[in-house]
Amino acid sequence: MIINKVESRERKLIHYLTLNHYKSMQIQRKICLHRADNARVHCFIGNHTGMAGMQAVPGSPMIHPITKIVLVMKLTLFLTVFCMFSATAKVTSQVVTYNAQNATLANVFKEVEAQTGFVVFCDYRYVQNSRSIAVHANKEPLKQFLQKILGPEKLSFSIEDKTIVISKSRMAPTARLLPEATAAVAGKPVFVISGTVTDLNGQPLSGASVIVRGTTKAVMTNAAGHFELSVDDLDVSLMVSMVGYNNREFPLKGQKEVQISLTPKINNLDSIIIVGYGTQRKVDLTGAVATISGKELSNKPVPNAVAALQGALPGVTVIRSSGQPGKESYGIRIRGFSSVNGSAPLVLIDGIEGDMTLLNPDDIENVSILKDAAAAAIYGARAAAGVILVTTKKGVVGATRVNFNAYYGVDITARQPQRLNSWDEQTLIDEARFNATGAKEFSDEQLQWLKNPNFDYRPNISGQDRWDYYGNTNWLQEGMNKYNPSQNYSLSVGSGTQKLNYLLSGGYYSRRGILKYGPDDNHRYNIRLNVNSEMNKYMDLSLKASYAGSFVNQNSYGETSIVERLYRIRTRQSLYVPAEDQTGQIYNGDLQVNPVDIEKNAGLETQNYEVFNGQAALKIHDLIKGLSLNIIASRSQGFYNQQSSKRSLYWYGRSTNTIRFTANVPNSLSKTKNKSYDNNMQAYLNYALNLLDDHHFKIMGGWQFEEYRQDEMSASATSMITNDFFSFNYADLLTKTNNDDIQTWAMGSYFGRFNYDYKDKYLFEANLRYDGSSRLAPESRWSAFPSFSAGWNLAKEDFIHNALPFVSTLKLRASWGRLGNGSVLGLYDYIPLLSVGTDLDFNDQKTQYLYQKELASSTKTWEIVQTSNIGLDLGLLKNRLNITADYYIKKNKNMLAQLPLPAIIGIDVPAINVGELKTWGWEFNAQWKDNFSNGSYQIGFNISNDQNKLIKYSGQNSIGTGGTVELLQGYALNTIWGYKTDGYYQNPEDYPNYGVQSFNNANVGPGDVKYLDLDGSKKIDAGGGTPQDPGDLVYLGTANGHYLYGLNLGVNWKGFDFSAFFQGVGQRKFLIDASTMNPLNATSNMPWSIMMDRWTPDNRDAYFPREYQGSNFNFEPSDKWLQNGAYVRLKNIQVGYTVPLKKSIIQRLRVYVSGQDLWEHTQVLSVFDPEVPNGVQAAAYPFYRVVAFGLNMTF
Amino acid sequence: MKIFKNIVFLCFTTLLISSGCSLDRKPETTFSDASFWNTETDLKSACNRLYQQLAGYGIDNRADDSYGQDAGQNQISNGSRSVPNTSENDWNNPYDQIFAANNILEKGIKAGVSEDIRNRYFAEARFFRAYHYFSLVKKYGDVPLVMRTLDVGDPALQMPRTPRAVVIDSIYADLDFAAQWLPLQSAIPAADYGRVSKGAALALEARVGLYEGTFAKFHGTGEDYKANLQKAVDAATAVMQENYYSLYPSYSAVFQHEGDGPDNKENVFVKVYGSNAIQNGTYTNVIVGHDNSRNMENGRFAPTRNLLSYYLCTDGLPWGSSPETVPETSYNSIFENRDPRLGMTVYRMGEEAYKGPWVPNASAVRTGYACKKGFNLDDWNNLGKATVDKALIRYAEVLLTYAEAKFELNGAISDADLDLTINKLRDRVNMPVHLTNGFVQAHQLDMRTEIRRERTVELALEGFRYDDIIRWKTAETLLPKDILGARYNAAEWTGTQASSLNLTPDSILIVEPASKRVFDASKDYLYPVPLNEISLSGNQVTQNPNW
Repeated sequence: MIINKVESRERKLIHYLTLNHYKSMQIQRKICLHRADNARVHCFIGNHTGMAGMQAVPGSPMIHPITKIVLVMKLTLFLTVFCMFSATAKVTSQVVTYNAQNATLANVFKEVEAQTGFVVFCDYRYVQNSRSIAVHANKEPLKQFLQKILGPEKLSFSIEDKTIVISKSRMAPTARLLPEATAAVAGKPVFVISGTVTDLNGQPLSGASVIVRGTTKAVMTNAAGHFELSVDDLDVSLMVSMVGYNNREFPLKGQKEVQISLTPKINNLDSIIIVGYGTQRKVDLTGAVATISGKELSNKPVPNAVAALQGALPGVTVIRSSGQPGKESYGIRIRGFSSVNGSAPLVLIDGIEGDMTLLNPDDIENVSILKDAAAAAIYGARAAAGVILVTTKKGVVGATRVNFNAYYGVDITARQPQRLNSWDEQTLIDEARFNATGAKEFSDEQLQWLKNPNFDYRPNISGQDRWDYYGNTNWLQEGMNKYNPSQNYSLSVGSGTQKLNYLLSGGYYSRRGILKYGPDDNHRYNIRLNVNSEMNKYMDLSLKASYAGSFVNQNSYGETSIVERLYRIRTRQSLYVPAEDQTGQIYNGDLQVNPVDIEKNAGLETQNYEVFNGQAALKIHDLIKGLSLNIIASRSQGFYNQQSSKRSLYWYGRSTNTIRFTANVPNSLSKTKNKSYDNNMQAYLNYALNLLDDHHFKIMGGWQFEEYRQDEMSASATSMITNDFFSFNYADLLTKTNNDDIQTWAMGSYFGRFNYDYKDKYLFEANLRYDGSSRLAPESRWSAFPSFSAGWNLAKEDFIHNALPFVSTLKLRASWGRLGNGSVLGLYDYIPLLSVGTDLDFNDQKTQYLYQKELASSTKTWEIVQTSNIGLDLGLLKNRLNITADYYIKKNKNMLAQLPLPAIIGIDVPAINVGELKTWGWEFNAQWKDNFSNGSYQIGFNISNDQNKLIKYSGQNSIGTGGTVELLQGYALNTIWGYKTDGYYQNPEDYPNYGVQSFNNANVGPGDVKYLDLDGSKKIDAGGGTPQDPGDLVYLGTANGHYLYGLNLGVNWKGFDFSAFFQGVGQRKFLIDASTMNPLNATSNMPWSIMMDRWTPDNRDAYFPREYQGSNFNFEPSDKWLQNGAYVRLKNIQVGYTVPLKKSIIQRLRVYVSGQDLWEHTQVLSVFDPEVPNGVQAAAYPFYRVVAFGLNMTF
Repeated sequence: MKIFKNIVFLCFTTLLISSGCSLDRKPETTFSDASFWNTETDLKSACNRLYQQLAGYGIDNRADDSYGQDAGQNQISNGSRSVPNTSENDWNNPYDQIFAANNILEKGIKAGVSEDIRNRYFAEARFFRAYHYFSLVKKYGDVPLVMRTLDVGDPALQMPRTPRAVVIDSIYADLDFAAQWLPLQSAIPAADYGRVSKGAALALEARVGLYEGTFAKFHGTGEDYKANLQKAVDAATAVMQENYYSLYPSYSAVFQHEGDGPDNKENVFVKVYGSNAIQNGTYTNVIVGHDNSRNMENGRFAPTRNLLSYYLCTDGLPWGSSPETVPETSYNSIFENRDPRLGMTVYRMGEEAYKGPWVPNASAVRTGYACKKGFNLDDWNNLGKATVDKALIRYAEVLLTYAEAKFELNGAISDADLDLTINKLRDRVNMPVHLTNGFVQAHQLDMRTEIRRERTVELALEGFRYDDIIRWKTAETLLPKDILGARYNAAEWTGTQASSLNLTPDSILIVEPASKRVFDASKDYLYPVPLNEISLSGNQVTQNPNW
């Protein structure tokens, strides 16, 4: 059979052998070129497991390892692979039955392979021009059959083990392409040469062929990259070659032990890209798909795989909102906002919806991000925000290989607010009070006491049962660690044959948070087993089983609450009670609750989520030529277990008669447990058909059903018999409560895809998906989501090829389609539901009440996002420079939104399809890769920008009194509106002279913010609160990032590797919560060190206005408080060294130092990280930098 | 052909599987509205929502009687008031509760219960609808009158504001219906204590009548003020004639646990707080709690000297002009020879207060006067949550309403009416002197002032003062004045230095100077309508004058 280029991993292919090894390289290169032109006949292309075998070699960065590569393979690999299999390969038969009138040699060989299980190797040229032959054989012995066929073609053959080697009759296959075949020729001096072939990183390359130049002696490297061969002469050169690498001539120069490294070949034309329900060659893609290899995601000291994606790909935004272990809340946004309602992409792990943050990054083979309708429409109703396809690593073919990766990181909290000493703090408090009320809290004498290190407290002289404090406690130091450990270990074992192979991996990750005492950490455990088996010649079965568990331990008081307490407690309060204190308490909680005591003693809350996933995929292929059927069934079983034990804490005054403060009183226990399952069944057919050699058709059609059910029970009780034993069994009977909550949904889908191309030049694709969901009313349940796309491979046109020979790739792409977004759909939105509550007392009994919380919406349906994309792929200079550019427009035609209605409606309004959002943007990605002697380097740069505009919003537009406005017709989402300011009023007469009525009119004075009266109304106000009548408000920008970019640099040189990755946002504005900027608005909040730079008569140019208690009038949203959130950040920098090891049990050892978020440049207020969300508050758990030390080992 | 068979078989199997996969999923742990509204229990459960939404304790520092230290609590007269974008408490919450009431009135029709039972729960719904419309009218004047549930797309969502008089008429209609169908307080079983009664509906009607009557009278907005006052008199009379309600013997106990429950016949309408578990003598499972005691201790509200000055001396004459007035040589001097209610409302120095004996200071409690009325140390200590019920309508108020309405209606009040009302309040606290026409004349007092004084004193810090000065149209003179606190006395104010205080030449604490206070009579008598409501109604809803 003649091999089609398509989806090589799904096909059995014939292997043609060239005998002269070195020449074969040349030939194959020609073949490549030839093939790139238009040939439909291809030389050996790896089959499924063969590919897996190759991937198991953590190869060079040049073979884009994300992609299921179908490089034009060297036979050497196959020989090796074959040798490894042969030990266990089941010999099917050694007779051949074949009848055909017009067979080609290729057909015949293919059939032989299929019937015997032997592998045929043959020089491409022999079959290229072979004439049609007639074959008639009925259970004919193999040798006899081969002689009959090959004789007339002047070809001969030899059978080595289970390999059939075809050669020209006159040339005997002297080189026995097996290591043991390199026997010395008797009588001559023999030198045994041994060596290792590696990539530039020192990673051993198995299956590289090593040939003694000018002879036919050849060997393959084994799994450890080792080879041995004998030569007559130590002055010869070795010719080393390997798929995906440049050939290398290596003069022995008398050496007997050699170390040979190969540089990777730059060629990603034939990369195989994972797309929805299948794969495509990159060259055939008509949609916008970005890919990244798992390798690029691992070795980064970040909490999860999503974090590692940040900035790596154009158009993919990764945002995080907290630094708390296990609660970082990473989110991904693809190509800006598709909708105002959560633009979370659909994440499919091996085809099944899953949580990427729970994955072990080392398990990821590659990630495909489907960005436009052409790529994503096959996922229909859930694809509007893009689709992320994660593929996990497959089984390893060959000898057992063990990989061990580990790093130990030091997290360093960065850019966090600092506290003041007690006298500065008191100075600000007094100023704030004086400015607002005319009176200070502390006298000058008391202020002096604060400064006196020997006077920290005294009994309360007002006669209260308390102490008075004049200390100075650095609460941040007492309650937070600046340095915290994180660590990650990952171990994988894989081996097997082409018929049956496996990969077993385990991972452990942990990170400790900033709290100095008590629980504040996250652990993640991963186990995964992937098994592939070829059951017979028609059926392949792959089984995947995985376990992921994330365990978060936190304080039952709440981590963010503790952080807030540490920032808000008075500095003059001591950590411990005075020595004379007789209450028996240790920690002081007189002025405010003691956060350190809380850290140590408030109790533990655990939040554990574990998910088991099992998946079986059966592939039935070639029942009819070109047809295959995939049946996949999977079940994810999730277990959530939350438990919070709240210990009671009391803080007394001077005697236990006076309770000053309490926390968690009465003590309590609450537990929430749920069990969920997600069943997913899918079946799809693929059919490929070629007509007249130049017309290539592919059709895919399938069906999918998914159902989800979560059954949750929660219970709580208070007043345990002691503060140290938490069980419902010992709780106060009357306080026990329990609740249940069942959530279900189901989704059915039909989908199909049609591909056509003519000579690889003109490409066309159409997708259709028809989705139905239980979330919608039966009458509006089903919708269809089509897409169409086309591509033109200009580089394959002669006029381009001839005129611009340096252009290796040039492709234009265009697509259009409709996608759905259902992320805001509730489970039963179309049914009016009643909520129940019990916080109602009659006669000291809990009493139930029922009420409708939200109106139902029977007409609600998916948001339909119409997406158009045009794109260009350009490869120059033998694809050393690759450029991809895309422009897209997305229109959410019926966006779901909460209609802003007058409050007189009196009930929550459901989201209804009322909006129209247009998002448009561009992406640009350029990558340069090249080799130099002993090394390679690469530079990549990506930048993207998106903009959006709410075209229609069937409601009244309101900007209110400023701040962030989510929805506003005619504007982008999340616009910020505020007042214009012009410094401060400096003198008492300035405000009256200005003659404008500002906020807090009666009390405006020197040091207050001067808001500008833009509308001339002599009054600072928001006018009618609409964009048409905004009063003095102006548009200040949007809270969404624009011009997101990433820059990566990488160099490999003689075992050293270096990479640096910068990531940034070119334009972003955000506001900080007013109560955070003006803590002294409330008496219980304390100021920070940055607030010392406040207006005083001696500091008129201060950042902060004069302190003023009880009013935020200086902190109205305005250009003054608007933060410029643009930043550039050194996201990751890594230096590694591959230790040269000889004949060690360890085949490869790389050590590295990796730094995450080590540096940034931004104008954001120095105590906030530029990545913080809009409206950030004091309680934000700080982000951190990481320095990690790691190693990668292969056994 | 075998291959074909296999494929056909597989396709068939697939189809079979797919046809077995239904997309119907029903809520399993949430009740559907369509299955509800059938029985009396359903009606009662729906009405329960009204009680749950009902606000109880709150902090009200809007007037001159109370001052709080935290942000945003007195923006009306400190000059920082501006038009809000939305107003959750003042505008949105009442409408949420009106929706709940309208919803019951519409869907409850379906219930298979007798007319009496239906009307009883409808009466509850209409009582609450009236209650919340009244709170809207007091703040905003004209408001959109929504008498049915509205769905998305209903043009009525863009309705303009309904004239105040129309809204008030609707309130009366609701309350008349409620009074007709609600049970007497005496007929409400203890287990249902807290549900509204006929008396509550009438008492609310009296309150509305007095408010509207006096508002119209003093703001000159209508001649029909007499009709409203007559309503007040009639409704109050009806409550009094029910002969069920009476003043609780102890004034201070009314605001403590002792005054909770049906035995206290002074409570006409109560927001019930409570706890259902007791361990070692302390409540451990608060069902509904409040922070009232905590708010006092933290100084979130505190009586002002302005309030203290209203309390009469024991001779029945105003403090200051009475010969019994004691010069303020000591912190406690101001408590000497005063209406006993003062000592029940404000802590004396040395008295066991929040956490030990009260020592004058202005650090948390900014006025230097600590609120005593309703403080409950047990609640604070054991729970951080208090469970003392909040009386929203007390019989004492009904009596005061009767007296004031009578007076404002006729320009005079008989001694008999005074004995029925104000003098009962005085008797309860053993205030030695009665208010009579004779006493007023003899001491050149003003009857209206004395009736208002009685109201201010009796209902001090219960959330009436601001409404009162608005309807009396006295806010414009009272609010822009200094807010004063206690008199500083270094010997007694241990721990507080004069330099940390803003004092008058007489050493009286200036909590907020007049220079920082404003009340613009041209606009401040009504709240500004939230900006959002104006823009979202397409400007159908209009802003109040001069905002």
